[in-house]
Amino acid sequence: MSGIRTVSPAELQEWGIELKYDAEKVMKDVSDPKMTGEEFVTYLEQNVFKKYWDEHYSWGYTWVMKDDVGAITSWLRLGAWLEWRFASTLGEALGKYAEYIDPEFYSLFAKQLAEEAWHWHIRYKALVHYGGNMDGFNPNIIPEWLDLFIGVLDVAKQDLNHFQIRFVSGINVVEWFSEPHHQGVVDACNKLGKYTVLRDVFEEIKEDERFHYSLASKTWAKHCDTPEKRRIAADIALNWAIPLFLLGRKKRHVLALQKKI
Amino acid sequence: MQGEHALNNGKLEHLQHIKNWLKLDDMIYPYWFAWKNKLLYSEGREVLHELVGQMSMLCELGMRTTAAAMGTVPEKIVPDQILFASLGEVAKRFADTRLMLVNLYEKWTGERLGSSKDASDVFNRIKEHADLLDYLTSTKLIADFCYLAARVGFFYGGDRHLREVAVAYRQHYPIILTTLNRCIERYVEDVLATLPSIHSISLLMYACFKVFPEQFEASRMVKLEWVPVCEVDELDSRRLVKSMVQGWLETLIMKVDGKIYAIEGRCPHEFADLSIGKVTKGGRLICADHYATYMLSTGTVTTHPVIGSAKPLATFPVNISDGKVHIGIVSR
Repeated sequence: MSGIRTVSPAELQEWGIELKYDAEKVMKDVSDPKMTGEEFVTYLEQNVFKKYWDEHYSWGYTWVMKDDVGAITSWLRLGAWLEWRFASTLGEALGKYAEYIDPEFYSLFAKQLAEEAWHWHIRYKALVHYGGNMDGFNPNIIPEWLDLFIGVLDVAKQDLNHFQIRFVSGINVVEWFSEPHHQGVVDACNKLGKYTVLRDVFEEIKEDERFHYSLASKTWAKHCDTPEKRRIAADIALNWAIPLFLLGRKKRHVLALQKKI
Repeated sequence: MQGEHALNNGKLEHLQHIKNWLKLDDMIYPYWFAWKNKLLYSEGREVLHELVGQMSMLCELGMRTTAAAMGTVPEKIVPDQILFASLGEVAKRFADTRLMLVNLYEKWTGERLGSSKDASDVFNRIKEHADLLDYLTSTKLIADFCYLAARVGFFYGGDRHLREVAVAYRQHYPIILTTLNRCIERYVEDVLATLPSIHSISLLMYACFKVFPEQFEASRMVKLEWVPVCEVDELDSRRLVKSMVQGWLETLIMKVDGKIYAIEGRCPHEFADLSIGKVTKGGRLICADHYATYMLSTGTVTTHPVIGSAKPLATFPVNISDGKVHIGIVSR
């Protein structure tokens, strides 16, 4: 992935992030020619994603339990912007690269596009509800998000024959981590007995994020039917997208609690 | 990457010249009447496959231009989040309609339509020059062509399943149009007078009209089912007669200047009841809601409504036997 930002182990270490998987072992395992697309999905979920459930749940939970409106709006400013950025990137992918996407997925991606744009609206509404706004917001405060949300198109375009596999492995994959995080937010709101608007918004988004992740799992299940395709998907997800995403989310967690976003 | 484009530069240039002396209506009518005649004068079901194929191509194109609009200089729309979200819904409505059409095509032929080569060719040429406004106005024109195709299929296709898809798209169409107009309003004052670029119109016209051969040799007129709708005498005593035909077609039958006409019962503009409209001498009908005026003989719009624009009115052949008026409904 020449010319595309990747995260170094030193950067991860600096922010106390542990990669809970051995990418080389995963690449070896998914090279098994007998493995099916469905088994590949199960393998990734069991051996990689699930290891992060508690950590991301905890990040969502502690953020709200801090019971600090300033921290909440700080987090939401980036969140609202990210929804717009994702809708924009997805729009470009579905518009300009549709011939490289399985037509059976058109309506699913269009549904995701509509939902991302809707999330921009409801997250912004929650932000305003708690007294926040987007004035002076600078997305460069956490460049990893830009690298991920804009860079994914560069990653996908590098091999147009596998555009869809590369795209979902670079972006839809991180939607898996939203479910535990948003569940943590919802549970914390319930525990505190306040922030009901935030709770309702995150509850709604959580359901949609599960669907957005499913575009990755559906693509892998249907199209990752050879070791080569599985290696492409695993390489992008494990060596590029997830480390970048983990670093971006950790920075966001820390900076939001300091009300610096 | 895509292969060679379907359009060569000479043809494109020629089409660009054509647009200079065309108005939007001039593009709408040939499309409506070409499809109407093609459906009426082509026996068999292959013509339906072509129609559904073209609608599917248009929906794919509409999905792509809308999605591309969302990914192109979006900061102009972004301050209005609901509008931005509505644009996402437009892409979804196109994609969902396309899915219905693909399913219908598979039901008929056993084959599943893939990504449309025409949609790719046209989109890839549009994107060479398109800005956000051009994407939005092109999408509007695509929605219009798709609506015409859906309407012509509804009235002259002679297939119940096609009618169901057409009705589904009819629900989407006004929402698509309103959303696009609201987005376009952010750029220009006169939304209705704003057309896509010559480049985009030419490409769309090419894709839409390429299904019509240069020389059309009409086969026999498709089989019509003659359905009795009223007594001839009724038309002498009443201004017009409303009739529900076969449980799906709302029609109006009237006698003007001694000639009997049968037309669809709802205004194509905003579905007002045409039976309360005014019939004038010379065989014209004025809708009571927004004063759209139609020629009863051809369905042509002679005056557009005060708000928006109207599509051609569906008309049906009339036959008189045993003192009864019968109208001809396509049966395939």
